[in-house]
Amino acid sequence: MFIWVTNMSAKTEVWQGTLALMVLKTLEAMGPQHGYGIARRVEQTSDDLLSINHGTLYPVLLKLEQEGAIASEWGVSENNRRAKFYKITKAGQKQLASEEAQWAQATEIVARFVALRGLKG
Amino acid sequence: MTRTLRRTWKRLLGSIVHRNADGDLADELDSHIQLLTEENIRRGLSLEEAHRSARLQFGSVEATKERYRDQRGLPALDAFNADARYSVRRLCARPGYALLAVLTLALGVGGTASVYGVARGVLFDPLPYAYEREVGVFWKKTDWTHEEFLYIRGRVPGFQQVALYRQRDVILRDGDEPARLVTGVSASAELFDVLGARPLFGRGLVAGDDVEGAEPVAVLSFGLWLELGGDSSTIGTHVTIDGTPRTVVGVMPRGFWFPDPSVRIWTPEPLTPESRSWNSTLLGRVAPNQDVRAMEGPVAQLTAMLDERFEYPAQWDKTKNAHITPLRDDVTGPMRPALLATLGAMALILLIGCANVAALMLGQIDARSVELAVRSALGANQRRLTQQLIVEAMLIATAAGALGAALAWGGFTIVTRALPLGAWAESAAPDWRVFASAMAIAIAAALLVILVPTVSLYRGDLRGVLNRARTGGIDGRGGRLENGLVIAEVALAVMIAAGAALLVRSVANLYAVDLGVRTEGVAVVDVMLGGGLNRSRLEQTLDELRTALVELPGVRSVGAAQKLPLRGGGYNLPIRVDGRPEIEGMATEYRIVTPGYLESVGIALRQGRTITGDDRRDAERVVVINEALAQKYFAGVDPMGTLVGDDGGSSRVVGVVANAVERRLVDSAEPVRYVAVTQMPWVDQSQSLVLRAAPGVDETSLLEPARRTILRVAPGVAVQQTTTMRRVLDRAIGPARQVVALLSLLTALALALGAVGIYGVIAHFAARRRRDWAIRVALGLPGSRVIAHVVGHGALLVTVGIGVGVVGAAILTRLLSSFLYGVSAIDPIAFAAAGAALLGIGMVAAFVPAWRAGMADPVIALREP
Repeated sequence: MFIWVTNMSAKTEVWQGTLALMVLKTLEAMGPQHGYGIARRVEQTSDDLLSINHGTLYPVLLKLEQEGAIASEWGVSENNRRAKFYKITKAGQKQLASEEAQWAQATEIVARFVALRGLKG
Repeated sequence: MTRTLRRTWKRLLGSIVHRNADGDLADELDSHIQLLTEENIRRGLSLEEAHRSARLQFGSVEATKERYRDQRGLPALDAFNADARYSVRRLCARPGYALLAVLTLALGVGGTASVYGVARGVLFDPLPYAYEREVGVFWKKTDWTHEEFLYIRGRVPGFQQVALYRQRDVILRDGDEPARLVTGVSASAELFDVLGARPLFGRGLVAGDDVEGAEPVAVLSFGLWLELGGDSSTIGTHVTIDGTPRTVVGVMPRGFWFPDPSVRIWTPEPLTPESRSWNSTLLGRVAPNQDVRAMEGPVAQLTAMLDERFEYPAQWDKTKNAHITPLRDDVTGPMRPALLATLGAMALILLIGCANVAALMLGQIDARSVELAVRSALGANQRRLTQQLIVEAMLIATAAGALGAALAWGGFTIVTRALPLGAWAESAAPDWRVFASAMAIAIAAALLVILVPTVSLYRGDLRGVLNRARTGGIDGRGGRLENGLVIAEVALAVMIAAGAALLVRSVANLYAVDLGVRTEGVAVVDVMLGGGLNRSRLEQTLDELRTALVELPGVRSVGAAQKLPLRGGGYNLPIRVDGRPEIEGMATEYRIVTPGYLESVGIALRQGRTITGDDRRDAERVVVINEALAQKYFAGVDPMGTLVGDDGGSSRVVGVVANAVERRLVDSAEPVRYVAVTQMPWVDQSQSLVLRAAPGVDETSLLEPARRTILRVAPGVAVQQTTTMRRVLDRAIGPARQVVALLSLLTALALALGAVGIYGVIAHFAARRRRDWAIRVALGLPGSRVIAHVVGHGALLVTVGIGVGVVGAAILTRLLSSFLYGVSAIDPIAFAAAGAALLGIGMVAAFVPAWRAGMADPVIALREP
C-alpha cells in the first residue's frame, strides 16, 4: 500500500513537471486559455498520442499560479459559461525559457546515450 | 528558490484566507466537463453518452478536488484550523465543561502568577547595589556600638571598607506641611560606598558628614524627592528631621532601597566613642571577586582585635558566634520562607486545577468514546485525535491564561498585603511580566493536562469500544487514570491544608502567650538623653521629661525604662538571695525603670506596690519582682520583704507583678527584676518613654505633641523614634500571622477545587455504570445499595489520597518550620484536621452523584442511548 502511494506521488511529480512545461508553452503560444482549452491543445499538439485525464491539469495550474508563472481571471467561455482564464506572466515566460533550455539539454543527452547504444549494437 | 518561497507563502495564505475557493473550483471543473460534453454532442453522441464520456476523459472530479485542496494550502495548517474550529464548536456546545475547566485552571494560573510576581522581586531580581556579591553583614544585626566601630574602622582585616547604620523612624517636616513619621537610616559616611550605590542628583554621604558638629545633611529616596516637589532645585534646600533642619545634598535613583524599601531618607550618624548602645548594624565589602562567605580567617583576626580591646559579658560575647551573612540573605532572608511556602502552596493548587481539567477531559473522551470509535473506524488516526485534544487544551489554556492574568493583577495587591513583606509590599506593583508569566504557566499547565488523556487514548482500544457501545458499563474503560487523578488531588489538598493547620495552631499558640502588658493605648518615644551629662543631670532630665509629658492633654501616666517588653536584649544580671547559696551565679532579666513605668506599660500588680517617687536615692533600695521569679526562687515562701542582692548591694522586695514578655514573644516567662532608676549608680542615655493614653484617646495622636514637648523642655535630648506599643507587638509577632491568613485562603481554594474534582470523577464513575445499575435496580436491588457503592468508591479514593498527602505534607511542612511556634512540623493534630477536612468534603462531593445514581429511574436509564 505504501509502495503504491510512493510510486504514485513520484510519478505525479515527474508528470507535473512535464505537464507544467506544456501548459506554459501552450499559454505562450495561444494567449489566455481556460482549463478545457489548455487540455485540448495539449492533446492536439501531441496528435492525440498523449491522452491525459483533464482533471490532472488543475493541480498543475494551481502550482504554476502559486509560483507566479501564470495568472488567472474569471471570464466567459465560447459557450457563454463562467470560466477561469489563465495567461502566462513575465516570470512565467522567463521560467519557460529556462525550462525549455533544460529540456533541450536533457533530450540531447538522452539522445546521445540512445545513439551510443545503437553503435554498439 | 524564490519560486518555492513564493509558493509556500501563497499556500500559507491559502490556509488562512478561504474566500469560497471550494465553490470557485467546483464552478471551474463543472464548466470544463460541460465543455467536454458539448464537444462530445457535436461529435454525435447522445446527451447521456456525451456526459458519461466527458466524465471519463476528465477523470475523478473528487480526486482532482482533493489533490487541488492539498496543494492550495498547507495540509498541517488546514488540519489545525479544522481542529480549532471543531474544538470551539465542541466547547461552545458544552459551556458547563468549558467554563469549569477554564475557571479551575485560571484560579491556579492567576494565583501562581501573582505570587510569582511578588516573589520575583525578592527572590530572583538583583539588588540595587553594584557590590551586592561582595557585601556582608557582621554577626547579628543591631549588635554594634559606635565605640566598637570607631575602634575597628579602616582596619578590618579582609574587608576594603566597613559601614555602620541603624534604622529609625523620624519625624519629617517640610515647610508648613504637617509633620509625618517616615522610616530613615542613620549611617556612617561609608554606607553608599560600601554598597556601590550612586545618587541620581547631588552627592551621597561623604567623609566628615558623620562627625559630631558637622553640618546636618540628608539624602532622599526617589519617592520622597517626588513628594517634595521632584525638581533638581531641591538639592541645597532644607527639610526638618526630628526638629533639626537638614540640607538635602542628594537624591537616590528610582528603585534604590536600603536596607528595605520603606526607608525614605538617609542621614549621617554623628559618631562618638562614648556611645555604647548596641543598636547598630555593621556591614563591610570585600575585594572584588572575593567570596564574602569565605572570610573565616579575617573574621578570626577581627574577633581577636575586639577581644583585646573590649570586655564582653558572657551572654553577649562578640568573640563567640562570629559570622558574616551575605547581604542578600540579610535583606531578603527573613521573607524567603514565607514566599517559598506561598509559592509552593500556589503551585500545588495549580496542580490540583490541572488534575481537575485532566479528569474533565477524560470524562469528555469517555462520553465521546462512541464518536471517537466511529471516527477511528473511518480512518482518523490517534495522532490526529490527540492533536484535536491538544488544540482543545490550548484553547482552554489561552482563555485560562487571559482570565488568570486578570486574576493575578487583582490578586497581586491581596498577596502583597497578606505576605510578611514588610516594606516590600508598598513598593511591589504588577507589570506586564505578570501577564506573560500567567500565559506561560497556563500553557505549561495545558501541556501537563494533555498528558493524561493522550496516554488514555493511546492505551485504549478505540474500535473495540464500538462493539461494547450498547452494552456499556463496568467492562468499559477501567477509569484507573481518573482514580489516580482524584488520589493526587486529595493528596495535594491535604498538603496545603496540613500546612495551613500547622500555621493556625502556631498563631493560636502565639496569641495564647500572655503578654503581661496592655499594648492598647501606649505611645512610645525612644530618646537619647544626650552625651556629656553626668548621672544626676541625666536623672534630672528624665524627671523633667516625665513631669512635662504627664501634663499633656490625653496622657494618663508616663514612665520610662531602659528596655521595653518584646524588644529583647536588656540587662541580665546575677541574683543573690540571702540563705540561698545554691543560686549563686544565676542571672535574671533586670529592668531599670522610673516611677509610673509599670502602670503606664500595663504590667499588672499582684502583690505589694510598684516603684514610686518615694524610692529616692537615699531611701532603702527596693525591687519589684515578677511571678516567674517568685516561683523560681521563692517557691512556697512569701517573697515580700525579703532581701535580694545584686552587684550594687541588697534590695527589699516591695511588690510582685505579672509576668511580662520582656524578651522575645515566644519566650516562656522569664524571672525579671524591676528596680528604680533613682537608686542605680548609673543612668542609661538610651531610654524609652511610655505614655499611657487616657481612655478614648488615640495614642498615635500623642506622639507629635510629645516630641515637641521634649524639644521644648530638654533641647539636648534627641528623639530617636516615636512609635506605639502596638507596633512593637506587631514586629514581635512577626510573619506567621500574615502567612496564616493567606494560607487559610489558599486552603479554602484547594478544598473547593478538590471537591469539584472528586465530584466530577465520581459523577462520571456513576454515569458509566448507570445501565448496569438500572438493570439490577429493575431486578430488585435497593437504591440505597447503589448510593453506598458510589460513596464507598469515593471514600476509598479519598482515603488513599489522604494517606499519600500526609506523607507528602510531612516532607513539605519543613518549609514552614521557621514560622512554627509551640507545634511540631509534623503535628498529628494539624495533620488529622487536614485529613478530616478532606474526608468530609470528599464524602459530600461523592454523595451528590451517588444520590442521583441511587434515585435514577431504571426505565429511563435503560432507554438512554
